[in-house]
Amino acid sequence: MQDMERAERTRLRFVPAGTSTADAGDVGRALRALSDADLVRLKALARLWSRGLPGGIGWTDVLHEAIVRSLDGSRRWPADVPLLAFLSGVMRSICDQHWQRARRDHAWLVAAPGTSEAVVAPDNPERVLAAAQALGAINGLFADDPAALKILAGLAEGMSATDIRLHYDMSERDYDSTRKRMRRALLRHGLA
Amino acid sequence: MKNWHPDIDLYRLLAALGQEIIDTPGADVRELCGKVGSPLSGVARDMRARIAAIDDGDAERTPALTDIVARRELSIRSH
Repeated sequence: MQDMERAERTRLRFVPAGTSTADAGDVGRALRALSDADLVRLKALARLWSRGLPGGIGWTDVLHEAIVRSLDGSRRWPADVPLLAFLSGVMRSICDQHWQRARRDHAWLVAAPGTSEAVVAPDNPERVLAAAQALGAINGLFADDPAALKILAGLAEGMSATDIRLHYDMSERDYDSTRKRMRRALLRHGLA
Repeated sequence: MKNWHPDIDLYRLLAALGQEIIDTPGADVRELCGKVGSPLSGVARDMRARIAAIDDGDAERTPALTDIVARRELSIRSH
């Protein structure tokens, strides 16, 4: 909790009172002031979001782009959002844009000869396959943990913690201890 | 399975797992770094160097993430 408190202090220190977003200088100073643990979390987030991206894009590319967009002001850091959550959102957005571009590029490639417009397939098989593979890879991290697999299935369906516990008949204690194992597995993977 | 949308499932799952990473207590992060042989200070040093290089403009952006659309349009025009 010490690090979360520090992150909170960092946010408050770098976003001036009375403003709704931080400027580039605020973001730069806050980035340089991140704790060691926050930097590990940031690396794990970048590895998580970039998993399975097409075109050979890796976690360092996604992290780099997120930081650039935060520093150049193309993405503004809201005053009420912790820095890591903000950067996670930027990385999510970058990865989603990249997926969409890959989808449009694929449409250009499959456009019929002689046509001037791209044909966007309603269901891009490559995207679907890549997503299914990424889901499989995440499940693979928890292959030996049936309780974690249940939670993953619930999260993928957008269920809340309470819904997951009720649906899979898990006690609150089991749910919490499983989440703790999951966090550790995610970080372990993020450090690889 | 006809209506299964793995991309939507993946998006929701990654968002939830990302929050789990953010919520991991600092003590757990430190302990885990020690267990996997990646000292917290080493990972942090590497990340700080990356961030400083980006902030100082010493690192190049990945073209595929910045101008993939522009390159594609240029390629189409040139044909």
